[in-house]
Amino acid sequence: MPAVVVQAFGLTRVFETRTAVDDLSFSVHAGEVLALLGPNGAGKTTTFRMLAGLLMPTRGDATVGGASLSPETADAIRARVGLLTEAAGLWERLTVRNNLHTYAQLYGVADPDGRVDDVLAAVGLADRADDRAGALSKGLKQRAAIARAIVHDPAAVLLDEPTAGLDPASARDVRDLVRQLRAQGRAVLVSTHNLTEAEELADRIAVMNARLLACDTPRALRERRRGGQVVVEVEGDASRWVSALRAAGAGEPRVEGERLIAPVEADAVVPDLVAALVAAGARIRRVVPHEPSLEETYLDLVRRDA
Amino acid sequence: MPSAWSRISALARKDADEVRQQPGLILPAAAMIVGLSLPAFFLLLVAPRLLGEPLADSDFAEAAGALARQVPELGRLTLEGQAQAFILQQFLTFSLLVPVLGSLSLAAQAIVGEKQARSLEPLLTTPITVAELLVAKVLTPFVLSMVLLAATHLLYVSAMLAWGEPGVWKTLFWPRTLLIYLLLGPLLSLAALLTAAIVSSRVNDARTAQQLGGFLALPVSGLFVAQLAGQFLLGVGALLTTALVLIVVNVALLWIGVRVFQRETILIRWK
Repeated sequence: MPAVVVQAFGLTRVFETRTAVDDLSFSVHAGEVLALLGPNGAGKTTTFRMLAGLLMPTRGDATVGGASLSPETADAIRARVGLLTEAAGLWERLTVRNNLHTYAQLYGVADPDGRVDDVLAAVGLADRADDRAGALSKGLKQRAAIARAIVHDPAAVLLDEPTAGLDPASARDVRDLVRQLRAQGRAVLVSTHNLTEAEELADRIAVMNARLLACDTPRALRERRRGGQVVVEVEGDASRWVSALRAAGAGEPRVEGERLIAPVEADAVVPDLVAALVAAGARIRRVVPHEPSLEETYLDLVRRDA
Repeated sequence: MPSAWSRISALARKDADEVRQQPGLILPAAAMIVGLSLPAFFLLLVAPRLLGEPLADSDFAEAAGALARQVPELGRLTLEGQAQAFILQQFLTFSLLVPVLGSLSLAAQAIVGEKQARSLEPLLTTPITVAELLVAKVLTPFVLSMVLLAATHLLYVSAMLAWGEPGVWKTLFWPRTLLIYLLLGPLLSLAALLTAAIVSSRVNDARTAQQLGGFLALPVSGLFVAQLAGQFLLGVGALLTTALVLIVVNVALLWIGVRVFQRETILIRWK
């Protein structure tokens, strides 16, 4: 098992009366991507800011590369973490190289010129190194910002909505970069609203809404809801059989064209539901357990928390 | 870990690079040198020729004569030269406005520009301390202000060498002059720049920060007008006292600045 790079223990941050992050605990290993999902205002950015040593927790603790988070160790933490902020925040009048070189110096990188060349090549911007950052497209700016976040070779990389607002091709490039970071053995945390992206990229997904609602592999998260619903495909308009299903003891069914999706307490009640539908005159094509999408799982978790 | 100075110089160099990309920020400062020097040159060199009335016959000559009795170097000049040197010394205080006003826009832009570009948060993720950040943000405008001050001095010396009475230019190297240029100038400039930096943390418009920082121009202008109206010159003792006050002001501003520039404050409260 690779080493734990980032660990949060009961991480809590209160802003005056509002609790932005509440008792958050999780860990991220080297070479692992953890996606942070949650609605707007769920505390994802605040979590990143705490892990990057920018904000101190009100309660709880976090370690990055073994260093515990405190005002005294914040500088050391910052040297181990690379944070891609929500806005790329490049100095647009300067060249891409100048941007990165300044950061390499601020981090005290031993060979700034060599390191800047390396990261520019890694993010595919070597040929645009001497262009003004302001002249880059949004996708290229994001790549430059990722290069900036790793210029000091951090063990942990935090990416706050790295593909937000990008066109599909640029978003795919950024996802490739994230995979590259994982392959390099870094612990990567990605916050995103794109559930498909989270599922595609992440080894594990943490769903949060101030507090942690779930943290598991994408498959395990989906399977949490599996078995709780059954899909009955009938001939014709399925809405005609809703009352029959209700009467047979199913929960409130959802209608999607010729499909009835009904919550069931256990697989044992499924034959009774089918019998009730047949008795009511429904012609059934097939009955299958419902495969919930990550989106359904996510929405279910967030709704239940609300 | 890099040293504090290497971090400060890296960020200050970055700011200098950005300034070089924006001639619009430097040109008004350069124009200010000429603009603020013109009244002195008009009074010293142009008006006496236009009116046909030498300064030696003006009210300034009497005050200059009184001063010449205390300052032997002044006594060695012609009467016209004494009056020129006296007026020149009065205008030296006024010339302190050049570095103050000329570099304020840069200091304000250094902070407000980062806020507008949303580049402060990435910057704060580096190991730079808030005190280093504050110093770095003030350093480039401060260096520029000192260049402006030196340019103003050079302009005065050149003009007096070319058109002044013989020996008057030497008065621009008197201890009083050097005290104004080497001590009061830097201290006043630093106070204005720190004020602009602190104000910049609360506003989103560089011009507002610039205007508030420019309040420091008021006491300088007041002092100049008082000198001109009363036809007196602040002595070395008074100038040293002023310098001492400015040192205290700068320490207080630095203290406030470091508190305003806390990482959490910047992230949460700066808008």
